[in-house]
Amino acid sequence: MEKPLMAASFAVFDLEAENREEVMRVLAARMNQDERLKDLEGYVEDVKAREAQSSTAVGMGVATPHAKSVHVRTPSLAFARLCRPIDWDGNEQVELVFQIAVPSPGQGDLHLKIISALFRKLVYPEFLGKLKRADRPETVLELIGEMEQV
Amino acid sequence: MKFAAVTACQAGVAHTYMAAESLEKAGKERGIQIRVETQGSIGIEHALTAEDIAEADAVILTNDMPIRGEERFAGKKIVRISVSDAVKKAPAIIKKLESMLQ
Repeated sequence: MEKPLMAASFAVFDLEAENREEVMRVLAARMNQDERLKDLEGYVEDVKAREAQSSTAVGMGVATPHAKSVHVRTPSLAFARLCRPIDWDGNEQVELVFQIAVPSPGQGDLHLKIISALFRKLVYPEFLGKLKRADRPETVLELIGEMEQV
Repeated sequence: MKFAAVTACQAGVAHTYMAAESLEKAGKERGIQIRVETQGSIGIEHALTAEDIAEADAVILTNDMPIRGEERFAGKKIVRISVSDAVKKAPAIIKKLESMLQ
């Protein structure tokens, strides 16, 4: 059976971070615990390169760093709530981060469909409020609708 | 008033869908029907029909990536915005379009 996008350990609460690269590295390391990345550094570089093209801060205190990368083995999603907002791109303060790793070339559409459904939900303040109040990884998994697959 | 839109972004994973939902949500809030086609890594979803396009008073296209099938919109009023503006500023964009078209 395919691995779910997110394991409980991929949700990090009250993360202390000074800048976005620290957040990206922490989340990449969580994903890598499960050998989902072929090359952690390579993946982080790809995420940074994507971010350098244009910021993935999308307003409402949310950023969505991501890479479709040859360094990814298994489609994965990680979540961080920062203990205090950080300056993401000189323009926006961010406190919620969803980071995505998608293999290139792709592996079918199922995971991408879950991710696209999640990102559609992110534009609703009520949904963000639930993420801000979540206190257990399971709550995050439930919110992104992964529980049925675990 | 009715709008049609197409969203696309580089990775086709995140912004395409947030932009689509933001535009739809902003439209709903102002009582305007907006049909949004997404061109992401899953492929094209919610493809605009000939009727959607014919009825649209304006077509909103994101300009980060080439839009497939742009010739469908020949002769329509086209507004180009970045996918990130579509995510962040959809209500303001819709409002401005409304007042431009009135």
